Order: sequence, then C-alpha cells, then structure tokens
Amino acid sequence: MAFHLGRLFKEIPVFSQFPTSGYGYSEETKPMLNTSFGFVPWDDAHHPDISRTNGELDGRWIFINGNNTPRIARVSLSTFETEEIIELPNSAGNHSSSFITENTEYVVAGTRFSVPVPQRDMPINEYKGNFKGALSFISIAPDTGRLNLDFQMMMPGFNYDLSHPGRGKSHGWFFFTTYNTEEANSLMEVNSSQNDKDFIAAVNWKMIAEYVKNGGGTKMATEYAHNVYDEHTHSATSTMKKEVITVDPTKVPGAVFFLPTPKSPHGCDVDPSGQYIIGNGKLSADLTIHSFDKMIAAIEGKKFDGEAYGIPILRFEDVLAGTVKSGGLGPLHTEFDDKGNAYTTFFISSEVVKWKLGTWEVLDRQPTFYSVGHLMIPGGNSRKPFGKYVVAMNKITKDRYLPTGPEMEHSAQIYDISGDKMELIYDFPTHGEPHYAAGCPADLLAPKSKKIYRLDDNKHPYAVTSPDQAKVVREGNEVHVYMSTIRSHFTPDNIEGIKVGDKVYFHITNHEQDFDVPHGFAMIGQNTSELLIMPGQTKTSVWEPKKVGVSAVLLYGFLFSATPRNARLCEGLPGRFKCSLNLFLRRIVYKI
Amino acid sequence: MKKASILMIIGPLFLLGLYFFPLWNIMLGAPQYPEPLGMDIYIDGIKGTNEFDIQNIDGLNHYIGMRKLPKPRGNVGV
Repeated sequence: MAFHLGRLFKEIPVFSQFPTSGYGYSEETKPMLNTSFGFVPWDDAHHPDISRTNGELDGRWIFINGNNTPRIARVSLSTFETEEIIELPNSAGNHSSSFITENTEYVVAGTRFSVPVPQRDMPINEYKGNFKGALSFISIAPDTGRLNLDFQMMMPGFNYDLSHPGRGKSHGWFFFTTYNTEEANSLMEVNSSQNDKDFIAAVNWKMIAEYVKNGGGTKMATEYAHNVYDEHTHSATSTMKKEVITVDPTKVPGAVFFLPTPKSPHGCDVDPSGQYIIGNGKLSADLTIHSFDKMIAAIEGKKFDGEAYGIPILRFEDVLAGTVKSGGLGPLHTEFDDKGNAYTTFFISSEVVKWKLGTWEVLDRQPTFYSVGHLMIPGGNSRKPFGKYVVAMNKITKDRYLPTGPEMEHSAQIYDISGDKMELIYDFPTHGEPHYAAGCPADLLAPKSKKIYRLDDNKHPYAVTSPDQAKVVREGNEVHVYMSTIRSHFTPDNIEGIKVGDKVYFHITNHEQDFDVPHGFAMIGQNTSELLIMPGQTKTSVWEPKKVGVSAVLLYGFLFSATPRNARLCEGLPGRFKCSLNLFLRRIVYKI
Repeated sequence: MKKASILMIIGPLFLLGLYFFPLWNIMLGAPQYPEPLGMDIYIDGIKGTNEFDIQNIDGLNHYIGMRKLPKPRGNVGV
C-alpha cells in the first residue's frame, strides 16, 4: 500500500515481505503472513477504505483486502504499520471487499467466486446450485480495532464483484453487485453473459447481525488464520481459528433482496445521501441507478418478481430511479463530490464522465490515458466528500512516459474538479497497477502521526531498556544476543564464541527517542533481509553463520562485527547526520 | 527610607524567582528539527523543553566529543 499524491510519502507492506523495513522477515512480523496454507508472503491488494464515524472519514485505520489468498488487513494511521490480518474461509478471490460501514461496525468482504462450502472434490459441471458465495462480516472493536469474523452469509453461487455500505437513510444495508447469475462454468465471457440482467444484492446486515447475536446461524468447522501485531511488544502472533458462524439468508426473511441490474454490473456505489445505489454495467453503455426509497416501498408492498434460491427478486421498474445515458463504453466505478455530482470511469472509452445526481444529465467528460479502472475523490465514497480533486487510476500507460522494457508502471491522473469542467492537472506513473485508492485531508492524519515508540513502554520479551542489560545468552546451539543501539554504536559491539551451526538471534532495541532516527541492522551472508528498527522498538534478526572468518577477524573460533547496511543511516558517523549536525551548530539560537 | 535602600531590599527579592523560573533558555533549531530541541537551565539543574530533549542533545553532542549535560532537574529528560 503506498501513500502518495504524485509524490510518494510512504510504502506500507501489508501482505508482502518488505526488505526495506524487514516486515515479514523479522521474527516479530513473520506471523503476520501466516495463513491456513502456511506462510504466504504476497497478495493482490485491491480496495483500501478508511474507518468512519457517522459515515465520515475519521482517519483511525485503513483497511485493505488481499484478493488471492482471501485476507483483510487493518493498518494503523498513527504508526502506518499493518496491525492485523484475518484470513477468510469459504472464499475464492476476495474482491467485493474491504468496505467499511457507517460507524466502522464491520469491514465487509465478499467472495468474487463461489465455491463448494464446505470445500470438497466435485465435478465443475455440477457447479450450478451447489456452490455458495460467502459474504463475510468482520466486526471491528471500537477502541482497539481488533477484528472478529462475526458471520458469513452463504449466498447463491453467483460472483460477488463489488460492494458498498448504505449510508445515512440506508445505513444498516449493504449492496453487492453480482454477475454470472447464470452459474456457468465454461466459456465465461459468453455463458456468464446470457442474462439481460444480473442483480445487486441488498443485504440488511443489521437484521442478520441481530439474528446471529440471538443465537442464529450455524457453526461450521473450518480453518483460518488471525494475525495480530501488538505495538507494545512490537510482535505479532498468529492464531488458527477453527470455527465460523454461517447464515442461510433464507432463514432470515426480509433481510436479503435482489435488485435486477443490467448486464454484469461491476462497481456498486452509494451516493453521500444514501438514496442512490449505482450499478455500473460493464457490458452496458448506460448506468443504472436504483432508489433506496423505492426499494423499501417495493419491499413493504411485497412487489416481487419471483425469487432466486429463495431470495425475493424486486421488479426492475419498481426500484429504478434513473439511467445515465452517457455515450461512453464500459462504465466501471462511480464516486461523488460534495455538490451533488457523480463521476464515473469508462474502461473502454477511456474517460471520466461527470453527471448530475437526480437529473442524470451528463455535465462533462475528460479523456484518461488509458483504460481507466477505479477513480477516487477523497471521501468520495462516504457521507462527506472533499470534492476538489479526483484521481483516476489507469490499467494501461503506453506512450505516456519513457519506455522501460516490456513492463511499465501504470499511470494515475489527477483532475481538478472544483470548477464546472474537469481539468487534468497532473499525471504520474505509480507502482504496479494502481487498483483503487482512499484519500482524506492531510490534517486528519498528520497531527496524530507517531514520532517515536516510548522505550519505557517497550514490552518486548527480549528488549533491553538500558545498555547495561545487554548480554549474550547461549542455549545449546541457539544464541540470543540482547543488543541495544544508539547513535553511534551497538552494545555489545564485539561478540565472541559464535560457531558455524549456531542459530543466532539478534534482538536489537533502538534506544533513540528522537523523531526519524531509525537504525539498520544486517549481517553478511544473512539469508533474510535487513531490519530497520524505529526509535524505542525491538526487532529480531536470525543469522545462521555458514563460513568461518567471513570478512571478520577470526578469534576463538569466531568474531564478527555487526555490519549495519542501511543506506539511510549507517552506524558510525552517518553522512546524513554529519550534515545535520553542522547545520545544527550553526543555527543555535539563544534567547531568554 | 531612602529610595536606594528600598531598591536594595526589593531587588534581591526578585532573585527568589530563580527557584521557580529558569535562568536561561536555549532553543536549538535546524531543518532536521522542525520542532526545535530546547533546555531550560534552572538554578538546580537543567530541564528539557520536551521530554526527550536532554537525551537528544546529549546524543548530538556525543558526535563532537562533548560530555553529557550535567545534573538533570527532576526526573524529566533523563
């Protein structure tokens, strides 16, 4: 996950190992990447979403989904570190995720593909009617942010593509786009596009949560990892959970309805008032907008047009609020400004189209370069958009920048949307495929960004809080080095008696209590990455020496010098700090 | 009483303030320290403006071979 706006502020590893900081390499963070499949050090991150209070961004946490090995992560927005990862059972392609309800009650994750539940070996041509689509509701503890897989709804075996929570008047509902309601299993482009309309599933999650709270649902044996990082022990633990509560939606009458929506809708977006639910029909040139009020009226009037697997289908005409005839092709995603306008990306015609909520007229259109996917207005999927800029994220970049071999970074573009016409003001290549983004004003985050970890709050079992506690402890062929570091030395700085065949754990505590003074640590030939240890933090690096006398003085079998290899701040008198020291001395100001 | 005598009596009373207020304040600013390090020098010791300022000034002084600052005041900024 990267923090930037054309300028990169920070890259935060979530589901991937990250040698810059040692995330996923250090003993403390390896458990973060544990799953029921074992250690999975990468994923395909898709949809970040920021925590909310009363439907407005509050800047406490940001959540993101791993698509490939279904996982949801929570990242702290004061330390900018991944604090928690929860795996999702019964899911395959965790795509309609990770979206946050009005008051951060739940982070919701839907499976892109349906699978047999429980998993079993079965012929794929028996897919129809036998697979299930799991929609996971993960509760969030209001004070700590801790995640708990509260329940999974076992929906019919369609593909659940994207989702968004209701807001304002529709708070308590969640909306999911579906496709392949045909439940085809071959030649998908053809066979899963037979129906003129797929559905948007409207789920009254409050009703289901209440049902589960009152003992509803079925406990099902399964296996999924829950990994939690503790800021005070600076360590993660991984727990394998064995059970999940599943809910059959037909057992909770009045909680789930299908809204017919033309042609494989992709994005499922809800406007800031919560009145309009927008289905972006991939295979349609038009946008379909449903009305929440009309939906409720239709439900109350019991005006159903049949059912699918026991779930009532509402009549298209009864819930339709309007259609945007845009003239573009391949509408994907919609976000909103604070003036009643909506902005939709069109993948095939490569453009952002601005239109008016309520009148459905197109106001403006601007080209993108090229094949745009998501777009993002800060707060543009919340009750309070900050509608000054829109960022469009493209899937193809081609001639936009200097060529860099067959693979290029993809392009994102920023448009000023404060006027009547959108104006392209900046475009920049960004890492990987910029899938989706979340944005908020900097003043929501900057004042509470952490500067140091307090050393006196360090609860790491191997921490040394004063250099005189530094020691080397041998337990058989395991050696634990309790080490402290401060500008400009390690304690201890000479360690003797390490032998080939030993497993050496360096537990390094950074004793700095100064902003932006991390220290690096690495050993020659180490089969893991460097560590970057923040002020007040403890991290552990494992080294298994393989050669005697590697570029170090041989003495009593083995003597080595710890070799910091951090380009940013080398131990000794680091170049960067030398500079700062000179400036520092020149700028001394005396005042009474 | 003469004016000079009054001044001689009142003047030293102001010195009592030394037991409550710092003698001297030093602020050290640099682009790398947008929030400057600072110390207040009291009659009975030195206190950092912020919690870790004394430790951080000592850390910087260390590079140029200076000794640690003497006698911190109270338990702050050890």
